[in-house]
Amino acid sequence: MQVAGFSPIPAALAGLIVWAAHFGLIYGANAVACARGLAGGRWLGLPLVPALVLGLTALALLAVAVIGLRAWQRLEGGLSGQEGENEPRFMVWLTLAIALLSALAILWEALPVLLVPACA
Amino acid sequence: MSLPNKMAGVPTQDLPTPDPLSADAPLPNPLPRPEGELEALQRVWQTPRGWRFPTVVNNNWIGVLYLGTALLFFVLAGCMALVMRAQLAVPQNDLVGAELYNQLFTTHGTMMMFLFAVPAMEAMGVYLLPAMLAARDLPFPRLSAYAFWAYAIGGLVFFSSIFYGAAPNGGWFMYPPLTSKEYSPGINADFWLLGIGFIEISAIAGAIEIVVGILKNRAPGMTLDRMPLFCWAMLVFAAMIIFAFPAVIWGTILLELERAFGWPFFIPERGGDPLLWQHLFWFFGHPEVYIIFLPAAGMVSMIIPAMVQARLVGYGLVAMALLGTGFLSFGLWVHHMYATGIPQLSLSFFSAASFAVSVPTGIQVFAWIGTIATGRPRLQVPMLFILGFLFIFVLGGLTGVMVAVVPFDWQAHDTYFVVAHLHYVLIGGMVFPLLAALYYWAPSASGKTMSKRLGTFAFWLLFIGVNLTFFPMHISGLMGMPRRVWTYPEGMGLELWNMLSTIGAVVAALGVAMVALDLLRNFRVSNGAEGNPYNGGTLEWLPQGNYAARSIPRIHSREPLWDNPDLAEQVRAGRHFLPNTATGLRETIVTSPIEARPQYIAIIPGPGWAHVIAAIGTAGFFLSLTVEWVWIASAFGAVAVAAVLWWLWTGTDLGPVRDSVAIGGGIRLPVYVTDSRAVGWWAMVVLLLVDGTTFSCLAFTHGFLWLVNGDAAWPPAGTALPELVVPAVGAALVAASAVLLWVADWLLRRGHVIAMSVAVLAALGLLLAGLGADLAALWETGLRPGAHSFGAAVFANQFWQGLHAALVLVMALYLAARAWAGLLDPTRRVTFDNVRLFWTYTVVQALAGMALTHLFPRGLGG
Ligand code: HEM
Ligand SMILES: [Cu+2]
Repeated sequence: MQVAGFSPIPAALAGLIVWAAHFGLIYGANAVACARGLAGGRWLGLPLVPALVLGLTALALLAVAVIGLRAWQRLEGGLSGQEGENEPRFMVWLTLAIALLSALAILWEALPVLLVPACA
Repeated sequence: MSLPNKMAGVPTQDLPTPDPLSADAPLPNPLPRPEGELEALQRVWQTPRGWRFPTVVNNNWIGVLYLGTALLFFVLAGCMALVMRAQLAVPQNDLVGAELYNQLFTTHGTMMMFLFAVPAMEAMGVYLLPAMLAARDLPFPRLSAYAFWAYAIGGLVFFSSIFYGAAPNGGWFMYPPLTSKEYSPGINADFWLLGIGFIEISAIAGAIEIVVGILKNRAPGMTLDRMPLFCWAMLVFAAMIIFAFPAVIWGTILLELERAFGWPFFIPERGGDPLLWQHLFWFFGHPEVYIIFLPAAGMVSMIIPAMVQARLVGYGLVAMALLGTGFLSFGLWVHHMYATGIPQLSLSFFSAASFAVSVPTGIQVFAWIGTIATGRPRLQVPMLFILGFLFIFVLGGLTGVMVAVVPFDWQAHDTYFVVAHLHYVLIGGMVFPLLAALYYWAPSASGKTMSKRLGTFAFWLLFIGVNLTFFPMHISGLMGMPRRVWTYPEGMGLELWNMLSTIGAVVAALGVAMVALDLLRNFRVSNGAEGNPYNGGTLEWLPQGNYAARSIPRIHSREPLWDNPDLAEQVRAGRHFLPNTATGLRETIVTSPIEARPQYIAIIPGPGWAHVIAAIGTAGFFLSLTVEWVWIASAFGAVAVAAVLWWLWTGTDLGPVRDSVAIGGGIRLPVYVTDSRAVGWWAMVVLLLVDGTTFSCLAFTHGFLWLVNGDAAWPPAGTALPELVVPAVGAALVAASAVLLWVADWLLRRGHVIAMSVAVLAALGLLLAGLGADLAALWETGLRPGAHSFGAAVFANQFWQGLHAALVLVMALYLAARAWAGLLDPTRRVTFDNVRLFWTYTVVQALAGMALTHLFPRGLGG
């Protein structure tokens, strides 16, 4: 069933949804690695936890970048007057601003992996 | 009934030109208005008088009652704080003993958080939102009234437990093992678990109402980016309740199951782990702080522009910040668990997230300061409280940044430093804005402003009192005074700081008394208020009656009253949309979620007893369970269920009482829709989000316990799982019930109503048989919930599925009864659609639950 006129809301929140997935995954990965004594392991020759966390972070940032760029293009392309006056413009702007905030949070939260030992 | 264009209420082919929502179109309705139109509107919205008053559902009244009750609990919990401060004024005092002190701080904290802060914000939402959105009322007024009564009754009983020595005493976050049966054998902990548990349910009911109201009941043309920021804040607030409260409800269920039946979720000797409680509690508990703070921030963003007579700087950024805070605050819960031995890197993630969340908060603070700088500040009472808020909250934020640093927290953890920090944040971030709001919006309910003299006096008493109480606590905390101690020894240098704190508490209490006096003298609820003493720009300052605005204005900007000085007069004269009661019943315009284009007219229920009785039944059920009066509890439960059914039967799904009605501007709207435009559909979807979140917590319980027990002990040695055959058959039966529902839908669409009811009952049989087969197979293997956390988790899952099966049972019988009573047909089918939605969810959840029981442990190779 299509929900009348609802889809711009989840679209605007996309950045934060990526953030939530990223945060859950890196926390879960580290918890499992430490509880199961896998932290000493290696992956592609790199220490397991940092490699995993950085890999997930790169993925998440990529996703947020795609969301942000698409919003940027839509803003540039001039989309006023589609449906309700300049409403789409605001939602696209919101998408972009939220993507920026999410990128900041994702980056920030992943950085400790370079500084702090995984399971100490 | 058939609208070709799903976006708009107006069929595209006969769209009047220009678009009736545009600013160029003439006003929707002409003058003069027909004779008797206003009187009819007033009659329909009349407030019940005398002994019928408890049946009132109108948001103006429920909102004020709700807020008044919340303020009452604030005062009661504040009195407990005074007793505590009296006890701590001097060392080795014996005013109250250790046991009573434990009950006092637990009840104080619990009441402040659950009975004051959250309900006060919901009350402000219930009271203000319809006026701000220019809706006649929120879509489910009986639901808010039910939430209010359940909360008021349950809260009062909860409070009185302190007089019987039965109040909870394990701290407001109720950590096991202290709160387990072994260390808390009395009923004190059960009072918390059952009493607060069901008040959380009432909070969820309010949240559903608020989400649907904000997304679906805005004035035509009030697109999302024209929505007042308070509405944005309440939207995020309600959404956060929907995702946060299930965690604590689930934790509460587990702890109560452990206490009542010995299912060892938190007992390490039998495979449990007390940290499971901490995770569940704080996954709710940290967002809770923002649940309280965001609406307050939303109020501030409304009050400052009015006080300085300038538009808010950075509207879009503030909306973004509200959404961002709502999300990011869910990534902080472990920062309450820094001292629990969680791996250091994991702690760092949370430490970093704690900093990240301060970015959006900072954005809001700058927007407020910027707005004050661009305008002409007037030092009226609301503004004083705003300035006090900024000062206290920023200080609390600074100490918050300190305790977010892991090594510092190891020092300050569980000392008075934390008590100081949390009160700075909560009082600064919530009490001061609430008082500002009280002074600012009181005229919209009573028609006149409160006293400037008393208000100013109250402000200074509170400002000085709060700082004097809590600033010295930073010092006593750093000197090592632990929190939650009922007394302290002489000669450690703590005397001075504690005495100052106690004096401060008395000063603050005088401030509260001053506000109370002002309310008594200058606040009377009236059935409609006029005037806009602070010259606010948003719709709650339109002339109001019980029915909100006489006609529903067409909106083109964020501060319509500033941009169109004639708007109030036009609205009062009835020149905007729906100046009458089109159906002769209470009704409101339902609009699309983003652009607020009219979709249909929803008929909303008026006064009634059913929801009041349901609230009494619900409260009685939970409270009797606390004291283990099982039979009385069952009786109350039966009354509650019967009352809810009566309420639904008489008050919902009225069907198309008219074909369509004209609301002005050439727009005709249907009065009954059955698809995703319907507010009932939205409410059900939001409820399912609550349900789905609870189920995620259930899954988390399995995963977490597996992690702490190790693969080899999950299941523990000697536990056999049933062969997969029986669960597979059970799953097939459950799935088949969903298929049968599609058949029922097909029958209903062809008008075979009785055949439809037979199909529904058959589907019910399949569902119950499937779930029953699964349960029987588990029981056969000898698995029991009491022996080990594995069995406990498996049977907690069964408990949750069983609860849903019971709900579906009631719904199916209700549906069949509607069908036999002729209240269901191919058009009038919202009841069917909502039952099917819930049922389908139940099926999906049951299949996921079976996978959790049978496949998850096998997949681990155990
Ligand atoms: C001027 C008003 C207030 C005073 C004098 C006050 C005083 C106190 C005192 C003495 C304690 C016990 C500290 C301890 O022994 O560890 C406490 C705890 C607490 N207070 Fe307040 N309080 C006030 C207002 C508030 C407000 C408005 C809130 C929330 C909205 C609040 C929430 C709490 C919480 C959550 C606790 C912790 C309870 C626990 O340890 O389980 N308080 N307060
Ligand atoms: Cu926190």
